[in-house]
Amino acid sequence: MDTTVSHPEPIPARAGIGLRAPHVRQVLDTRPAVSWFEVHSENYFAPGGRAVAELDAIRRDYALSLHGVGLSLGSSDPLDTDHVDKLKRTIARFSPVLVSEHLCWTSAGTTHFHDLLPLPYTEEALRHVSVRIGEAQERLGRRLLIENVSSYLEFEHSTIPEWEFLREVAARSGCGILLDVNNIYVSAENHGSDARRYIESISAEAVGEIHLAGHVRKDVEGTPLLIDSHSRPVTQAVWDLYAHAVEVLGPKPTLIEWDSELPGFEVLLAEAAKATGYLESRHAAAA
Amino acid sequence: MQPLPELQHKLGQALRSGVVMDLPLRDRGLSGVRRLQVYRNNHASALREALRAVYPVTERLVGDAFFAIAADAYAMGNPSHSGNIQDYGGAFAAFLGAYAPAAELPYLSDVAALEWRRLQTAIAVPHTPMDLEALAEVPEDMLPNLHFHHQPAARALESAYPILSIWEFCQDPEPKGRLDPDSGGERVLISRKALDVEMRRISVGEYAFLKVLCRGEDFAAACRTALDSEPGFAIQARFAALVQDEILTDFYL
Repeated sequence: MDTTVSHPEPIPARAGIGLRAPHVRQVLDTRPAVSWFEVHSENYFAPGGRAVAELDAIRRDYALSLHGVGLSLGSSDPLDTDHVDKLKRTIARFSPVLVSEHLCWTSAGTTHFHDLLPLPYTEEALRHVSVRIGEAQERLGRRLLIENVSSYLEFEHSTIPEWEFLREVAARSGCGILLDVNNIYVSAENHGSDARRYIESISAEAVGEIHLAGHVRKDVEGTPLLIDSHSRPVTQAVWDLYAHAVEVLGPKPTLIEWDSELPGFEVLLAEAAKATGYLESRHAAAA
Repeated sequence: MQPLPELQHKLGQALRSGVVMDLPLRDRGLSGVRRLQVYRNNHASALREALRAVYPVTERLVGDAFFAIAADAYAMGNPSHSGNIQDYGGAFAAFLGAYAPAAELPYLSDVAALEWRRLQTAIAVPHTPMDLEALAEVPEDMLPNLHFHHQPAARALESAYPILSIWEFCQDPEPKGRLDPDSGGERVLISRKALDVEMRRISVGEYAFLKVLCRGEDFAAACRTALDSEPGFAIQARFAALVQDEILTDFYL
């Protein structure tokens, strides 16, 4: 399998911004100094129309990452080759530098849930999802980055720590890792696991990208539960964990994600500048 | 140990029905069942928000509370079958047509159909306009025998209610005056010009003319049907406009 195809230029180890529809016009009109943008792949599956035309224009000036939410790589059903082929056409159109998906399942049978559902961390699931990621990569003709998801529940029969599961998926399928530091924090808080140890267990070479986002803390029947809402600034605890990740893994392209209660674009620029500060302090420390 | 396919099948059923049966969920502080509820809420909310994005005028007509209930009722019988949420919601208009709580708004279903169609037109594959020089070279006596292709995104809708007037009325954040939904039906032509979606009312004759042409019948048959339904139908002017507006995009013998 050829995984070296069409990487126009590498994304720099700098901060990028998740681009959402309400900000597109402003970006086209003002061409802000942003290192790179990431969009949700499925939003650009359509063969025509304004959204894809605008992304063509953005792609001419910025490096781009495609981030999928609907491929359902962890599902036990046959791989949805129609979806993979649409992604492949989207990749061909926009020549993204990075293409990523999630370590989860989003469908069962013919029903899609449009939510990132956790896998049981078992040898069975590990075998299954690794093969499926391999199939998807083969059909796409390129390597995927696979992201760890936030989770709110665990399965009784899970036997493998998530970090080990993620590391092993990458080793077996040849995929890279999109390490979502906010998701690590959210899941660690929700399940009482060790977020720093998680990061220390991931091999630096496998990590192609880092995600940062805001979460909310909810009180459910007297128990705190963190929800990966993408509706707030990154919390200080997650910045601290990110600093640790930059220290352990080295500087990596880092994305600010914000999906609901979307603020003005300048707020995202400020978050990205903050991430850049962490990345540069690592450079300074290394020099 | 529950095999993965069985686990995913059962968990999926629980997400849709709310009934949790025989799932190996860990209780930690919160019960596994309560934890699953977070996912159930996310799932319901994702589908609701997807409909809200496609049907803003329908939502304005019924209000957000009614819309949310209708959206949840639709979701019960219409699971999503695509990993791309933009594909979800195509049967909402038909659902609303049979949805008893909306029976007092008989135009609602047709307005929803207009919104869905508008979105499909907006994201359709681009078209190439008619080659006007080639068309001009066709001898006049051959025109009756010509057949036409239309732009793939173009559709004509017919309703017993003034659906485009209702749609336009709702674009104004503070509509003035009053719109009578029983003021007569409208036929609407929805099409693309470059990246813009255009919607305009068309007459009974033009609607018939287009329907016949789009079925693949020839120009003469389309003219006959159009004149039958609207004796004064201005064939030449309307045909020229349909070419100019890039509704008709190619011809063949």
